[in-house]
Amino acid sequence: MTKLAVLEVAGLKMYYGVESGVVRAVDGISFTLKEGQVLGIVGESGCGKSSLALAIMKLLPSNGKIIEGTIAIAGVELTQLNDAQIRRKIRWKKIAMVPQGAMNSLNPVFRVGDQISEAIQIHTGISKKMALSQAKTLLELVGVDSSRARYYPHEFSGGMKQRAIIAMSLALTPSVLIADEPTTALDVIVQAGIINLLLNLRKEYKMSIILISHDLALVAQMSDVVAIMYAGKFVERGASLEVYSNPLHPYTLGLVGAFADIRAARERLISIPGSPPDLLDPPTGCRFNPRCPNASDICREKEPELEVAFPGHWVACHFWQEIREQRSKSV
Amino acid sequence: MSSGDKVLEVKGLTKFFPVRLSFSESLRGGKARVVHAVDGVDFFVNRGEIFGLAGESGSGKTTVLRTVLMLTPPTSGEILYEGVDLAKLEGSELKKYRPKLQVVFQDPYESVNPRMTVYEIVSEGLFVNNMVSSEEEALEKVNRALKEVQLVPPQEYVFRYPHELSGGQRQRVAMARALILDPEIIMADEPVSMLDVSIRAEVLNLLLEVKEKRKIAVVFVTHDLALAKDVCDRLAIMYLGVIIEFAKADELTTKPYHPYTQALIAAVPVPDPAGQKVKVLAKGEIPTNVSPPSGCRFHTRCPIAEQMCSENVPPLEEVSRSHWVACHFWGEAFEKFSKGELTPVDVQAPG
Repeated sequence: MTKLAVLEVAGLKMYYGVESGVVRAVDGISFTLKEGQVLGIVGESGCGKSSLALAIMKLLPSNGKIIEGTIAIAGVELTQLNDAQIRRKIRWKKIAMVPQGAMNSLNPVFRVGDQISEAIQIHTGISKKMALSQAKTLLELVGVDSSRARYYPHEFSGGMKQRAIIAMSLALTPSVLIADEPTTALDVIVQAGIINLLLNLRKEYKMSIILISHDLALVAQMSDVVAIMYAGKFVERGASLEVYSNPLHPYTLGLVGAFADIRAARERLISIPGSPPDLLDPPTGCRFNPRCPNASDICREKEPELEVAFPGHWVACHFWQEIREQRSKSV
Repeated sequence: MSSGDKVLEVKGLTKFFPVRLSFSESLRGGKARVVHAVDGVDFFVNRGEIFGLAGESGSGKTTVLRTVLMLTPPTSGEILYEGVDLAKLEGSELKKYRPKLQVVFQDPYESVNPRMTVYEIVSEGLFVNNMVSSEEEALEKVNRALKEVQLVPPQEYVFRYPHELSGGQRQRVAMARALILDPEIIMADEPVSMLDVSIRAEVLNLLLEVKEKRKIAVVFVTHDLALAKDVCDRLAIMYLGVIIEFAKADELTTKPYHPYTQALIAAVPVPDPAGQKVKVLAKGEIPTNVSPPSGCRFHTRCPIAEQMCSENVPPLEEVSRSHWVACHFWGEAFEKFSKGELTPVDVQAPG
């Protein structure tokens, strides 16, 4: 199954300059996204997962800068393009994003349909009437009755607003959709609807999706491949089935133990001691070492590289083999 | 279940909020309306038990918590704390009971005053309730409370400001503020939903430990059923201001009788890519509780609703040992749910 790579990110570093120094939010990220694939990026607040999305979209604030690395979408190298080119050729057309909390960014004084059609008009230059009819088609596509195009955002429920935002992001048929916490603040039944909607879009339009979330369960439901992000770096990545059933990085293991599973018997959750590091001054060596139960001298001195543990399963830990042995003994 | 251990009993609790009419509505002589936030809720909590209240936003779970704390008086109903009806008390009479019921709010970034030190935050209740006579005594108690919530050594935290603390540490400060008054009941409103996954467990485990050690009761309000199953002893599901099912927490999540509980559970994703996929078993979203649906409030979204469901309110009945449900067709619902015969209502999930 060799599918086309639609997005290739290699050695990407994006830093923010702040008064007191440099925040290394994205610090050497590489991955390949294939056609129709869902990549889940799991991490806690402040790990750089949203910054990664902004860097790929080239939507960085003025103090954010791509220092190194490449972002290639369908063969086009984004880091070489200027803002106008990105706006004209890439954003919305090749790659679109549903930012975190976007459903609250609909303009309250315009009808939802008009807001979607405006985006279409600006980018394609078609007539207002045609754009509105496309907007209606898009709403139907995401499961909102097209008669509601005339409604104002306050007449939409939370789930419908999120669907409208997804509809808008699909307006120019992008090949990649980045969804940053697409279901946060939605109730669980509504969330399930959005999950199924995204999976359907993937299936029907061979769309590739980057799903960014702190929620292990949400990512497990949707992703083919998963990357665990900690302090600006991927610490483990691979096929979802493999990473969830055979986690090798102590941080991944910690997350799994800290996460409640509704199917499992009643259990006591286990926390990871400490809190995520300050990216202004990350720990030397492995960035997880101050919180790691397996840390030893080498972890404080030498930074582990992502290495292949099994075919298609990468991990950045000096002791992944020991961890794996320990676990196989305890089972 | 020994009923002698009841420390809190709530009977027929209702809380309506008036809806303000718009200017044009009032000109046209519009009728005053109310939001039925809580509409007849009964439950009890035993000493040494964690009682969970779960539901979607708008189900009234937080209003129950606020009303039981008498932060807002109920429209009607009784709030019996060791037999005394708090709803009937006012002023200094009520104030006597305030230390007994303490609260931990959802957002530790909002619930502690950023301009007060940890000492000031935690000791404030002591002074308000005249529980100490000097600053020295207060400081000693604050130190002890900080130790109990594992902010050790306390000297290192006591004169810090909230912005110098992490989210998990702030939530511990909020717990210390509650515990220092020797409460019998802690009302916790989504106490970990604002925290990162990796530190949720430490706050929850602390809550469990404190509960064990002090034999206090905890009312745990949450929207997260997976978490509720791990934390709560008994769990009640609320929908539009009423409790529609309650049972032992792990029984409720493995044997849900009410179609709404079933829909909630089917929609919770499991952290296993090979596991069962989420299903949407209920139509639409929670309706407004200005004019809640007639009969069973869930009938507008229910996959198995029949005529009678829109006419008769199903009573909350004990259908098996300590398992209560309010549904005319719970038996049928449970059978269909366990056999996987309920059809998802949304676009077909991919295979």
